[in-house]
Amino acid sequence: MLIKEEWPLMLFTMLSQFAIGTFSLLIVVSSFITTDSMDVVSTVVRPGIYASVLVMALALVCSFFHLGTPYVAYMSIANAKSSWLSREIITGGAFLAFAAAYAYTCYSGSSTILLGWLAVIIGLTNIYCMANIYRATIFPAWTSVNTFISFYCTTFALGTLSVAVSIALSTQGAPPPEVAAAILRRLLYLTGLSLFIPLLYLPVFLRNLYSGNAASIASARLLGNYSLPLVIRWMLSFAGFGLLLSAVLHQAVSAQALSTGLIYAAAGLILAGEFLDRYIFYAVAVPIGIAEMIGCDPER
Amino acid sequence: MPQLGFYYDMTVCSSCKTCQIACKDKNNLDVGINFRKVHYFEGGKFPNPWAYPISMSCNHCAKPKCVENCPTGAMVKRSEDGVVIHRKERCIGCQMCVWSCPYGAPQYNKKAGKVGKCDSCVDLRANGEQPACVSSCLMRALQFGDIEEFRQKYGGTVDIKGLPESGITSPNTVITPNQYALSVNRRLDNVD
Amino acid sequence: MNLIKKAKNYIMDRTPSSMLPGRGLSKTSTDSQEIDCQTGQWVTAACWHNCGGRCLNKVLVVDGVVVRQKTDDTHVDSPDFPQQRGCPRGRSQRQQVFGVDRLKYPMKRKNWEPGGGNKELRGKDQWVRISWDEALAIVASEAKRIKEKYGNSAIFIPSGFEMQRVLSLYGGYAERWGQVSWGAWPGVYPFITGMKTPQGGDTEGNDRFRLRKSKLIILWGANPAVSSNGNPAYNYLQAKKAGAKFIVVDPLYTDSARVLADQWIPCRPCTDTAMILGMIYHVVINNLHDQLFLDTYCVGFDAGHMPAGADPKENFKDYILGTYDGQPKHPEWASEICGVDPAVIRNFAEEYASSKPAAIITGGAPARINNGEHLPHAMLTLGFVTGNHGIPGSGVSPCMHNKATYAGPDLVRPGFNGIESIANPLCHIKINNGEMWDAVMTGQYIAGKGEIRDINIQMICHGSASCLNQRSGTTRGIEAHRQVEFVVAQNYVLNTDAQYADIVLPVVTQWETEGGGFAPGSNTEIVIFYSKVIEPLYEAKPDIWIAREIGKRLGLDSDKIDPIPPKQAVFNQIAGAQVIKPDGSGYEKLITITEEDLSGLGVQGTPQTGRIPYKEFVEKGIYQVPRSPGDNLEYTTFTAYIEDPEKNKLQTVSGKFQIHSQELSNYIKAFGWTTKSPIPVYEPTREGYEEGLKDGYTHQLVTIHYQRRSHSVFDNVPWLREMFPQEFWINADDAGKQGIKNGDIVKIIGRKGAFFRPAYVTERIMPGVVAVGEGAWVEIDEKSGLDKAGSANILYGPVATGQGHTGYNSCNVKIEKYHGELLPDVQWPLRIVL
Repeated sequence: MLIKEEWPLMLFTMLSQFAIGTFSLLIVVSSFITTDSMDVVSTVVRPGIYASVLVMALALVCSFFHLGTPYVAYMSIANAKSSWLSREIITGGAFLAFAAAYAYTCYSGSSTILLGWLAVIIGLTNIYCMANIYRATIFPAWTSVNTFISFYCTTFALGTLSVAVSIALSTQGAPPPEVAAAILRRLLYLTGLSLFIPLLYLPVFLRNLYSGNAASIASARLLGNYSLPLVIRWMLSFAGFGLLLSAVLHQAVSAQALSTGLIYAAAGLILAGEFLDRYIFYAVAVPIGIAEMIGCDPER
Repeated sequence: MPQLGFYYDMTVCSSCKTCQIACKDKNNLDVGINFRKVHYFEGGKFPNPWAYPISMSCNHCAKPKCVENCPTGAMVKRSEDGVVIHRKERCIGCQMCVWSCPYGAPQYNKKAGKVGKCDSCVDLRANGEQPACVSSCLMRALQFGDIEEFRQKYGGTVDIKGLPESGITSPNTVITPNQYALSVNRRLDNVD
Repeated sequence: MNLIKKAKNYIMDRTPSSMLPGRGLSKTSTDSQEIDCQTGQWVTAACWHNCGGRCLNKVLVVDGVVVRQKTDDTHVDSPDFPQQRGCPRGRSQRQQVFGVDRLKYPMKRKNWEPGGGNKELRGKDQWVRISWDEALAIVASEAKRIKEKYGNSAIFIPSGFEMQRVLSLYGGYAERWGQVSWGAWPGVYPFITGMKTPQGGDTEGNDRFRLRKSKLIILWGANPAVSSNGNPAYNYLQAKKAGAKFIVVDPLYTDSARVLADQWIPCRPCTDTAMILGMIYHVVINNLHDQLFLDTYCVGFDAGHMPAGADPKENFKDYILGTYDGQPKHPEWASEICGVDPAVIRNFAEEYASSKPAAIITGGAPARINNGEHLPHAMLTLGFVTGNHGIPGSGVSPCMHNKATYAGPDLVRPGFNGIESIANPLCHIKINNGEMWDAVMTGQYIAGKGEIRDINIQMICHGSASCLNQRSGTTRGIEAHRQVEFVVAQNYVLNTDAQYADIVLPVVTQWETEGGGFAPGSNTEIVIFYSKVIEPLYEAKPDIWIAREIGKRLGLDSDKIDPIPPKQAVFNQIAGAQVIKPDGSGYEKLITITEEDLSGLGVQGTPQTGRIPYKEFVEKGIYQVPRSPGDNLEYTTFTAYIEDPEKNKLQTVSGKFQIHSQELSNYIKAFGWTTKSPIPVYEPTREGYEEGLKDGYTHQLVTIHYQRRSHSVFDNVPWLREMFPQEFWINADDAGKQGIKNGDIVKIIGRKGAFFRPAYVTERIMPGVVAVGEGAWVEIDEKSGLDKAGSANILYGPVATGQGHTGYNSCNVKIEKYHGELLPDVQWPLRIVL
């Protein structure tokens, strides 16, 4: 079963994208917050930073489960010269290191935003390397620019989501500070884009697949078999976005507390959608290979 | 140093699979792992069916994606003969090479947690012998040697109907095809 | 240190998991190749299988363990002097000999007791390990008890050279007889040509160099690329390169057709005779026949050239023209029957008639049909009609199996081992393959025309020939095995015969044989001498040891049973080995033996001079006669007769080729099953094309040789199961009509049984014909009661016709989609019992 085989990579990619997305957005948020809003920093940003470091570590642990011989995994950085996998591991490790360093500086009170930005750049580069790994394979469904779109959009969708959850968590019951609310409203745009762009690209992706080689066409057909899950994926994402939108707008209009129930529900739906999307990503991969033709069917 | 590779004459190959078994025996492979495989293709319409086999292991490509993508450098293209070998001690079993080879040459061994691949029997060749598949072939359809010499001598091609497009990795294999194996309109022909 | 233990642990680290496991000891070696080259030794290992090849396989033995194999590298390979390379089966022997399913200990069926116990459980019972003493005691006591209660004729030994020797000294046993491999050829060839050959013309035709002279080679129901692994297909390739045109006649577009044929003619099974007659008609009415040849060398063609005492109206030409029966045998008539387009038949006939020399080489398949005597007769006559006999590169013969492309006498051969056979006092009790299981059930069999005899079989002893699986009527055979009081089998794996036995005795393979031996029946140009590779595994014993021990317990003289120690017997063969002189004028000794060799071996013998020293011969493992085109060893049959028919008369009654043979007709009649006219005619075959049309068994099944196995041997080997899935061939249009797609599981129903298999839907087989590989081990699926392995003999028989040969290719079947699960064979559990 696919989950049984590919769960380490599914989790690894999802979790690292989640972590990098969260961290990056929190750094962005931090950069626009003045020292007046230190409480926002401590209640929203810091927990998020710590969480993203932990999640990134968890992601890397998951990746070990994919390896057949994990105890020599340290050798995997040896071929950065040509291997995107080497590069991904290096940037992934580096991100974790810098993010952890920044987290420590936060904890010890002397946070250096520059360190944070460095981690962000490394992290976003890590996503770039991750997507390039798939681009370097022989799976037409993965070598498409769709992979880049998908990975970055997941990064930001999950990132914005965790900021929203963070804000909701920390402002339970009470209306959020205007700063936080403003951040949330701006992030909504990003969430919307992250969910909408992949859908916009889907027809282009499909058309390109259908006009490729045998493996490419087989992938397109397989994607067709996953029509129902795909529809569900988008319904989950947009339902989630809808909930998020209504929660944020309602708050903006009513100046009340954020509806945590709605936020959590939105997070759950969007997370489910992203996970389903990632599952489909792995499920429709058909490799270019030797197309054996033993026997034939009468319809030919 | 000359690039070495396999020459395969599909017109005389009887698809007996002796090469596949000789390779399994030499490399101690379990069921499910075949460093060399005999593929079969058929079509046409009775009473004019056509068929052809392709016996293929590793093509020791000029642009080996497995070498490019391997994170540990376990996959290496030797400078002395251009043969791509797999250094087991450096393999972490990430299967990146399996995801990179259009010909399915690297095969993952779940029990060992590592990948394995045809290495043109470098140890036998060091002893002056031929690769196991070549010396086992009942119809003498396989040869291993200087690939340029094979190209000159036999012409041949690697763009065979059913094989991935040769431009991806530039395989160093020469195949003498039968007429049905020549790639015409590859895209449409390969559709099931 | 216990060598076996060491062997096991060494095997475990370097061997695939389907081979014998280690005993938990840790790995001591580092890099396998390094160790191998330093400490290993190459030993010639027996490849003892009945595939026709028996090629050179060698194994690398390191510390008493086989680590890998190689094939012939004793000389540089060339088309004229080719290496004797092993095939996929030979190269899998390591998995075969060391399989985890090797029988380790003597076993008794749990629910057996003297008298049979619960006989219905044979084939599905549990096994209990017993000691050799107990096992041998049971076999001896059962033989004694059954002999005393029912008489010796109750003991049936369908195969098993060693047990036959025991029973021959103990009052005798009921024998089995009947041609299987060469179909109807053996009973026909001597009457038509006067030549007595082992299998009805198998040694006749052309050797591989003469084949290069053929202008046209017709492979008629012959598929050497699959059925004669080793060099035959490669030898044919040389003929093709030398300019021979190839035509393949076969219902399947085989790999031989693909590689060699310029034209493929699909012909329905059992109807080749009709096509041949259609061809002859076309040749005769267009005066393309060789009248001079017919007048000079044959009798029976026309009324003016009949054998003495024959009715002139019974001439062949008038039959062809339809003078008396009103049916001219023209290509249209033939086409209705054989399914070949009349234009194709005409072209084929003309091509054959105008190509000289043209060789027709047939496999056994077209003649492995019920009442099939007309096929060899007609095929030979086709050659007579066009004068294509006796010219180098021409001929008609069933030159197949180990003789394919190697017609002629053995150019090198081992000597006699010195073991005289023991006459069976009951040698007149012979039951034909086509009756034996019925005889067990009904208590009767036919011993010649009109003579029905009683028989009461209560004990079956199985030796090496896998009779339950490999003779037709397996369904009936299983019933028979559940009827008798006692079944004993000797084998090294739990094959079908062993599975249905009460006592199973584990035997050694030829890799474990003391003193090694000659691989019997390779091609004419080689002898292969194998050495012992390893000690016997577990408690396996040699067959002859078992015979000796049972003989002891029956109060017989064991030295009569086993008169010559293995080392001496083998030495006798070495000392007596002969090779043809380079000028072809006679034979000379092959091996030089010195006093030193003799004393080293500890055998009796005298020193001699030969071509190759003893030690070199054993080490090399092979002697191959050096040959080249035009050497004095080339062979074509009947050249002397054609050159001077008066001086070199044939051994037939007329001294000539007999297109009309009353003697053949009488011979067949005397068997008591079917009849045959003196000339070749077309007669519908029992369970042939016409019968199937009548009662809804819509398809004709051909049982092909299959590369997973050598007959039934190797069926259990995982590598081979992986590569050859035992598919069921069905034409794409036929499949489409029944909604069957490639890979669907289909149920195949014969008149006597059914099995299910994955369908191989293909354009490579003619409509109305289906095919499956022969030799799969019966595996009855408990739920459905059907065989799920695709064992062909489940479907039909037993049927006895003609000369008592088996008509494997006369089988009508129905096909249905099967709604049930079937795992790929490679995923089935191995038969590991204890």
